Amino acid sequence: MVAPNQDRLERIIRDCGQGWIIDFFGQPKDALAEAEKLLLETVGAYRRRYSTASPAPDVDSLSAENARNPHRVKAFIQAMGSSASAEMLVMVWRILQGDAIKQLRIDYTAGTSFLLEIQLEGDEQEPQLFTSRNIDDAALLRHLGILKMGGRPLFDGFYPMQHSLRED
Amino acid sequence: MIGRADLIIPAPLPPPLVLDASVRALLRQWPTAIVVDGDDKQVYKKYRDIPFQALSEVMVFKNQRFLEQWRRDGATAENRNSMINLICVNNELTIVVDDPSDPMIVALVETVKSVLRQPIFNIAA
Repeated sequence: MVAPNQDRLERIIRDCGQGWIIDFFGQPKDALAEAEKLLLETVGAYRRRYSTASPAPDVDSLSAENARNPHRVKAFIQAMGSSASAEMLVMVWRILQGDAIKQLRIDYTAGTSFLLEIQLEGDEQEPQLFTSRNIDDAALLRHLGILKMGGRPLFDGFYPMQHSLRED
Repeated sequence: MIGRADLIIPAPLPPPLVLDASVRALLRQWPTAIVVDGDDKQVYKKYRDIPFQALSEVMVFKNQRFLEQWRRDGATAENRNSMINLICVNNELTIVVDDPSDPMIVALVETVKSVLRQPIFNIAA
């Protein structure tokens, strides 16, 4: 039997056209359990940094946001397909909620090391630094908005890929 | 009274995405901006609270003071270039401004254009 939250999470994932996250890795129920576990870890990581005044990315929040801003949830679910890091997913969720990317640093040496650091600035608390040493998380950079404001460089926003061969 | 100019940008993307990205860009220039729905019924003080899926038009006021001034006095000279109207229909984003030659408005419009021509919106992954 599938837990109610897993059932709702599956609906959200499939609504976002990201059913491959469930179907690609063996048994769907196992993949769903993994996705739910990652989401719970993300909520825990979120609460360690942010107050209850702002919504954590739990199933309820994702479901509500999917009705109001499905493009944001699609971007978040796509991120879940790229990253297994709760910390990185907190970072993604905060950008989707409006945080600015204050600083981004990437350091890479082939076959040796990878470091990604992203500092976010929001209106609720001190800037927060998110770090990853897992190169899988470099995939998240593809979602960042890249623009110029008055000729100055700006990473801003986290957006869904518009098309995917895997979308169902 | 002040003028009005409609600047039209092709935007063959889902309207919620176009409005969201455009509002977000404006908020980087006007960090204390207030967003109001096209019917002037709902006021959103936080970006995260805006339900773009339900909107095809928003008004972005530079701050709370200008929102109040617009509601009280309308399109007066004092309110010039303190509100931008965004309308996304038929694969186009219309940016309604008072004075399109004002340097601040030029910069804002260029930023919105910069947002909409991002690779993430225009190149299939």
